[in-house]
Amino acid sequence: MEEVAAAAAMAVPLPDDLLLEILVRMKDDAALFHCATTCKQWRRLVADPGFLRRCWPGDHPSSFVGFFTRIRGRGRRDGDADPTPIMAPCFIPGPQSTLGPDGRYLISFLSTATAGLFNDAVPLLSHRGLVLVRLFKARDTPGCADPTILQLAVCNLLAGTCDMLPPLKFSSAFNDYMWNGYAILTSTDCPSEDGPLLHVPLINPSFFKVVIIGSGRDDLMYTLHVFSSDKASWSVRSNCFNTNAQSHRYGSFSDAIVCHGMAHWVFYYYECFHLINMNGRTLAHLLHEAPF
Amino acid sequence: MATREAGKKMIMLKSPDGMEFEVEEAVAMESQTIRKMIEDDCADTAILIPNINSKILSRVIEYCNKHVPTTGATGAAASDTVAPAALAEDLKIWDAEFIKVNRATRFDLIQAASYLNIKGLLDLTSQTTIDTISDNSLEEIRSFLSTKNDYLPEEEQTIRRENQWAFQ
Repeated sequence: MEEVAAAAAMAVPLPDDLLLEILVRMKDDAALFHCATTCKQWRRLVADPGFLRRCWPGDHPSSFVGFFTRIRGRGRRDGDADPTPIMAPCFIPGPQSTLGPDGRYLISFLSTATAGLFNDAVPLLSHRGLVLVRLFKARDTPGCADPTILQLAVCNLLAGTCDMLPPLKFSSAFNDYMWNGYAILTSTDCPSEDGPLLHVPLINPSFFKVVIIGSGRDDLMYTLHVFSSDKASWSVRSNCFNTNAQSHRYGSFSDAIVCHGMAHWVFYYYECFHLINMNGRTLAHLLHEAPF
Repeated sequence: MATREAGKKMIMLKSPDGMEFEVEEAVAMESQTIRKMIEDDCADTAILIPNINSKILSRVIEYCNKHVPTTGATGAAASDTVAPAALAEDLKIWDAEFIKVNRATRFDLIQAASYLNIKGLLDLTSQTTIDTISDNSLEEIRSFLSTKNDYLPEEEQTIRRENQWAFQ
């Protein structure tokens, strides 16, 4: 093409703001994407949220839907005649949340679970519509649950279902909250290893994986526990970190960030921050001392 | 505005290379940037238009001259004599002729339209550029817009592989 050849001879690149004026007029999504792959500068321009909002104006509710906490209330335990005080997991919506303006109990999302089980459940983590909760009253155990047993459930808020995971037994009482690292990965985060790599992986929407890096209160080593919904059982790798066995100290974990098939935690141990990066598919993990 | 109807009020535009252009206020106000200046009373004497040379500025004025009767309140007056559809068609043909310029001139026009904030001209120049690059390969787009491929070969491979739909 003559014009293209002539242009090449001149070689004066357009400034960003003018490029944006041109790109914003691209009506065809594929063409816009095509342009984004010409060079990194263009990709940066096209991927900019401000630019995308200009291309597709309209209402963009915040991607922050809300968060879970525990709310003191009065609930009815299974078999109890009188309502008893409870600390049930409750969803607090963010501004303009797609789930409506009002707070609601976790149980209101679920159609299949027994309400009593969730009266004192502790929400540990949520990711892609799944919420990991610790239950203190397993389905068939009356009274107080054994503190060395970790009973978890994964609630799918969109499907309204709840999966009870097999109980995990520790040699001493299990530490709650930030003393352990938790992550949920879905098939979007870790496509199946059998899928052909070059094509769109087969997505099984109900697949999930729960990862726990944890220890009982008196254990000296961290153990990696992985539950995969297609295998329906826990697999265990003991001594997953080279932490100082003699120290008898515990580190604390941030919430997991899951992106691009990796789970990341900030781990505070021995007065130092570390990063734990784990591949969601192979579960290979690394502990780095972080430079902050 | 009374002065506009009379067609008397003139504005002096100066390019950085020293040329002066006397244009009707209505024509100059096709540019939102100049309109602001006039409305804020900052346009008593000549308005210096920085970074747009006389060659490009004269073309921009030519565009505004052609487009001024059909936009804004005066559009009704023009359509008394000519059917609006025919007028629009005529303008389209004129635009197509107007934009038959080389790449450098077109980019200068984009820059001028952006600075002077003339939406019609910006639409025309940008859209023409899109039409030019839409049917071309990545290599041609790169060379047309003077950008270099700074992806590593393996990065480009990955992008192509993961997004085959856009490369078909």
